[in-house]
Amino acid sequence: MTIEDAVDVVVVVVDDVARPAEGTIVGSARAADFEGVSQKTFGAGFYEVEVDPATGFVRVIEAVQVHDVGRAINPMGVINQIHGGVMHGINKALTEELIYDPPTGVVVNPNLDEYKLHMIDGMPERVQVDFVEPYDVVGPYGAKGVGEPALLPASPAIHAAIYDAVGVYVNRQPMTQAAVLRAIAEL
Amino acid sequence: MRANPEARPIAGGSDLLGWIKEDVQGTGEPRWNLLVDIRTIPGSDEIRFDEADGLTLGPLATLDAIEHSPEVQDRYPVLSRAAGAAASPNIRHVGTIGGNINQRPRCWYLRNTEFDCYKKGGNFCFAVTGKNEYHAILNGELCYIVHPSDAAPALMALHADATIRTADGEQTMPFDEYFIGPRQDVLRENVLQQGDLLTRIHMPTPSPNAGMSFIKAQRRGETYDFAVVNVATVIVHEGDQIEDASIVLSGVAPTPFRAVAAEDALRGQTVSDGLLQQAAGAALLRARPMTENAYKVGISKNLIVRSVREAMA
Amino acid sequence: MAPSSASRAGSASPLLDDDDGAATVVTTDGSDTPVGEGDAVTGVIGVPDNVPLPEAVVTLNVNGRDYRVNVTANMSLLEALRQRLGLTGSKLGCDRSECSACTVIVDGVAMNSCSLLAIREQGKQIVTIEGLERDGVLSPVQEGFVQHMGLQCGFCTPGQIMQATALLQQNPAPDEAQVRRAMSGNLCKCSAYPNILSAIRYASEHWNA
Ligand SMILES: Cc1cc2nc3c(=O)[nH]c(=O)nc-3n(C[C@H](O)[C@H](O)[C@H](O)COP(=O)(O)OP(=O)(O)OC[C@H]3O[C@@H](n4cnc5c(N)ncnc54)[C@H](O)[C@@H]3O)c2cc1C
Ligand code: SF4
Ligand code: FES
Ligand code: FES
Repeated sequence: MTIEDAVDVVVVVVDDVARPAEGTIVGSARAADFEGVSQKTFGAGFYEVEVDPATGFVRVIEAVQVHDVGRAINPMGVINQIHGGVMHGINKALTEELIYDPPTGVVVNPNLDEYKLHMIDGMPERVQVDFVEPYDVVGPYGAKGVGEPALLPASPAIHAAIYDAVGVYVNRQPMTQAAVLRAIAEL
Repeated sequence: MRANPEARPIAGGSDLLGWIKEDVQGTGEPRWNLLVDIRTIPGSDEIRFDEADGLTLGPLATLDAIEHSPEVQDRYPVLSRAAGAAASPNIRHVGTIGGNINQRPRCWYLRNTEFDCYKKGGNFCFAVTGKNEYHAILNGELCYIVHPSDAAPALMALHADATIRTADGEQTMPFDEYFIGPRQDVLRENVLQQGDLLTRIHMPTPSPNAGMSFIKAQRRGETYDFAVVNVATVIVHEGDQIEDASIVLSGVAPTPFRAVAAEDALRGQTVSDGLLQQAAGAALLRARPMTENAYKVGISKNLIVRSVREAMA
Repeated sequence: MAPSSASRAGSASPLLDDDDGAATVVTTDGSDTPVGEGDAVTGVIGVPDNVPLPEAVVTLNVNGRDYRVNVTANMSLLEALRQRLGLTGSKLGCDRSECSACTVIVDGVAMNSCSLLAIREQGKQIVTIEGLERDGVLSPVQEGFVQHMGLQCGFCTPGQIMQATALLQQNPAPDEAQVRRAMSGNLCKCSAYPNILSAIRYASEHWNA
């Protein structure tokens, strides 16, 4: 089956969804017919950071993120997912790291004290998220996914924002104070 | 308690219970099987201010109570800020100042049962060959822990005294002598021996010309992190003229570190950018960073400069 | 200065002994047997499974009722609530005061129940998430979390709600900075933080209604 065929089918599906007969199961997980057709998800993120050159501390002050989610089945849940993605991305970029003792391979931070995740005070002052809803050919009810895509934009954007702020790309994650100060020193 | 080598005082329990649950053991750190509740001692949580006498704290006063005490906020802002910077709100609700001062270090090798290091009676420091991004840059020897308490540097900056109860009776000493480094005894962080108690903390009334500042550099957000570096500063000054300076750092050495060289450089001088840089440089002159923590040297210098400026603002 | 009382982990001291004469002493099943009497406690660090732990019967006041509970000397308040009283609303996240999923309100103050010893919490008013709803009506904070979807997986939610409740009891109209600071010990791994803020704002607006 080609993409063109798939698009034809969609029209029918849309009609069905509008007026499903009693007992019909509308929508389905990816049908065998659509093998080889993958859902493409899109998103964009915009981040503003403040870098304290005295301590290397990076604070994200604003996050804006928009995603193409297909149809939003539960819009509130979608927004919640994107919020989560924003924070996960920030954690990944700035603090979250499993640390191994090099000679023994033992994890030295197997706890929530040393394995740093942000609490509510680490959330940017302004978080704006939104989504667009083009009907998806393949996904159930026209939906795509939003769980994973939402956490991708933050870390590259934060790398770039730090570059914009202090003129250096930090070449490691998480960008701890040590990493940021080292990068500034090597400038 | 003195007779039983496996007895330990418990205050709020926020540090001790975590330590027991991790089952950390070794020389000088047996598996505690008797916990003596010292919260029940009447009056031990007092916060009393007297213009002539200064501030007296019972060791059982919680960090939250100290942070929000109007007198402490008004006259000892550096202490209020330090108490409020420690740990999380819920820990500050139960955690006491005595527990905060006497809490055990957070070195991740120490708190992991897989590593039998010097501090547990072993014969190796795993931080030297391992991950030491958050370890000591000053005064390390055998052991390279950093002192974990946020309140301790503030107390030292305010020239507080500790009263302790030992087998020989009561004894009072400045906090500068209360904390001991690994050179003196690698198994302890302070003078207390098995069965001893910290019973009172006292500090003089600050000069009306004293400006204070507490700055904590940490890894996430504003709260809930042990300090990467923190600085407690008290400056007595007339305008730009510095009469006296008291600067204590934590997060850099096995004990809270008094920046004596910086204090000497500032005393009697007129503040200027050059002077501050010179003072901060002098304080860190003897820094010997490990493989991963050289960045702390720069942070320490910058925070000394910033905190003196803030205290004089 | 001698400690005026010592809690002996080796034997039950008079301090630990049960009844303080409280008016309504009940057990979960209405019988006279203290909750959890005879239940084995196993899996405790450092204690072989065949060694019995010292036990004591204590009276805990939870959500306005007194319960006689059989606890071991090393049992946390959270374990007593969950394992003895069946109040499984409070969650065990880290057991080390690092996440606040176990937050309960003790005498009006939010505390991490995982890091309190049950035997030391006698004579205090303990409120758990189960104690917030009144006659089937959710509390303003609970309602706020529902209206604003202040959760994803829901594991941190009981702790978040108790923390927010304690905050609003002290300050019914906190500004955002105060909310952030008061909630800064509560980890939400799903990071539903923006909605949690909205939920607390809602609760603040509906606090007296
Ligand atoms: C996740 C986490 C994060 C934290 N972050 C910070 C932080 O950022 N900054 C910071 O400063 N602290 C931090 N802390 C430590 C916290 O401040 C301490 O746990 C608390 O202050 C200890 O007080 P407590 O009353 O609970 O002490 P306890 O746990 O009861 O006691 C701690 C130790 O001190 C001894 N002790 C207590 N009182 C006395 C006394 N009067 N005389 C002699 N010995 C005594 C006890 O025997 C025990 O060994 C953190 C703790 C945790 C768990
Ligand atoms: S720094 Fe001290 S506590 Fe940490 S591994 Fe070395 S000796 Fe042990
Ligand atoms: S379970 Fe109590 S703080 Fe995490
Ligand atoms: S909702 Fe999942 S941890 Fe908060």
